Amino acid sequence: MEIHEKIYVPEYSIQGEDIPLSITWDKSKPITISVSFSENIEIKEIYNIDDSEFEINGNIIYINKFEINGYLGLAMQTKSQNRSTIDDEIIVRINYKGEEKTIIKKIKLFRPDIKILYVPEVINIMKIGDKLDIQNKIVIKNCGKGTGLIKLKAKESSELELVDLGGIEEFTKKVIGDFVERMKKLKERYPQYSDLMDEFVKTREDNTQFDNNDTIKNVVSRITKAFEANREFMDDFISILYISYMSNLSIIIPLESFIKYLKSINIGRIVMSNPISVLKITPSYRTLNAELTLTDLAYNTYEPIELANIKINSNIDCNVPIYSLFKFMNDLEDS
Amino acid sequence: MVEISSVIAASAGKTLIEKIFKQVANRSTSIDKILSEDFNIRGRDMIIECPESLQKYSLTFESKKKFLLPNKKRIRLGPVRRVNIRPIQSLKPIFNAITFLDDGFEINLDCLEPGETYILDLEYIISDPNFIDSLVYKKVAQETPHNGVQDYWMAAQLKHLKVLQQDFGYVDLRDIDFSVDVSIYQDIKMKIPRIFGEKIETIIRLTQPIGRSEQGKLLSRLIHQQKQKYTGEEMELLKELQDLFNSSKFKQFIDIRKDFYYSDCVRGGDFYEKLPFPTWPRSMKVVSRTDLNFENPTADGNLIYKKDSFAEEIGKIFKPR
Repeated sequence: MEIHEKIYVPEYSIQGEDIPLSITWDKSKPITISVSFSENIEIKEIYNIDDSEFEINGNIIYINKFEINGYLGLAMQTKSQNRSTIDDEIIVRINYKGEEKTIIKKIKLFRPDIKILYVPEVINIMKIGDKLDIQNKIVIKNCGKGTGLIKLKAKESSELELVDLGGIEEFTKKVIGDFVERMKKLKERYPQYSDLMDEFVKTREDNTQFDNNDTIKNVVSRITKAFEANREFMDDFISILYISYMSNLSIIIPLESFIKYLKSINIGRIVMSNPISVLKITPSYRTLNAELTLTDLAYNTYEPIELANIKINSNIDCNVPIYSLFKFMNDLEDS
Repeated sequence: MVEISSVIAASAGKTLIEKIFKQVANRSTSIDKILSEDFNIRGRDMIIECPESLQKYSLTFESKKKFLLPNKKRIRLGPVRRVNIRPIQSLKPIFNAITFLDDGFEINLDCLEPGETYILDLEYIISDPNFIDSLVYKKVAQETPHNGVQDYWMAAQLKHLKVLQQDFGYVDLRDIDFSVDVSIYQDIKMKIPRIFGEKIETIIRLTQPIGRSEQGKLLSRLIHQQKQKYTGEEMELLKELQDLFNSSKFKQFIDIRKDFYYSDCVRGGDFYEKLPFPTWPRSMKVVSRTDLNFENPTADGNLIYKKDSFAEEIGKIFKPR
């Protein structure tokens, strides 16, 4: 069967993401196509056919005629599954003059799989010399192939709270204050983006906004579109952000941000998404009641992981960076 | 059982696309009609430049006669972004042949010679910002599952093929933008020497309000840590590291394959996503481009991130002296 078909399906995707499937063939050859999927995949859109030209039967879609012969496009959505890695396949059957050809395309669907291996009953935080000694850490491991962005959140019932402190936080406030002031002129010049600029500042000021990935996604996507539509606005916006940053910069900020950056990154594809947060500790036994929220690089959200109540015992008043409460395991350490 | 409850057969955005292409086609048909009164039209070509959302229309024509008296041909089809006329032999634009109008332009016919073949190049802006998204389905890999070679896939396919078929031929879509977030944070972490991090920590602590005895201990630790020399001071080394995220440097670690080609790269999402200014990137945003047309309604390609070379470059910055 010489129809010179070319079928494209990506070899892998994060679970929950959209994936494309396209088929092209010799325009002069009238063919019919069926595509079979597993339960891990949904079809979202079909391109180059009319509504009446396809038929769905169970998990197979049949297409008998095309608007322009020689091309079929599909947009599909993968679903998040219990298993963190799935080797799936999509089967394409092409029929030309009664002869059938079957092509199997394989796709790996993966996601992060954060597992808490150990939650201590007590974490001891002691000052020994000029250093903080933290014993009994929470042990965590990413058993999946996708990067997990984790965030520790103290619950209302917790006796200890997480706060953003230190030079970077102070610096952030000053930069935002400056930016808001400079933004007034920008809003006069680009009134069409006035609301968008306000929303941008709000997401930077308000911590709770960042618990809602859809809000971030929405604001980022709208700003990107505004930049694409109006390059002049993009240049002006970036310019005032840069001026606000530079006018508040002190030498310690790059050093401090770099250290926190290094300490929050872990080899086993786990990233802390609130690296500048600290736990406020007083010399006593206090309970930390917290949960870990989890997202991935495609902004998919997962069920939060509850941490059992942890007693924090300390002999000093101090602020403990949250990354220092964790031990991150990777496959090398495990074996 | 697969859920296929919400399948839409190519209808999403179709009305918008048909409306825009009708406008695009009407414009070219009207231009052809106006010019054919005095010229023989030899060829037409239309492309859409996607990054700028520009309709570019080129006509090749030959003047039928000599225009002795000042004579103008007015084309009032909306503001034109750019227009010029070039003789096919020299390809040098004849600047005084065109006068811009508020709602179009006019051709000064007495600037044209009979028997000569000219190319008229026109650019109109397609103002709808959703035009490309409604016409092209674009997807890229968000992350790769591999620890070794980092190979990100990119794919484009036309949502509406038929609209590219016009009376004069086919419309080409050029330079469709794709951006891939190439994850780099782990590669930085792996190559920063532990002692370098400890030294910076000591410097930070020395800037904070501390007692005299602690200050003494920290200073003696710093002196000990400074025994390990690098090729520059701390801030210089961090600046050199930041320089790696400049487009001109980072592009050497990127290889674009198959139907796509490299366009640019910029710093991607920041590690401190709450901060309103750049600190340290979690990823680099690499922009690649591809073309689609009636004959090639799909494109696929790969972005290879040469992480070993990138890590090697970081290693060179922190090379002990």
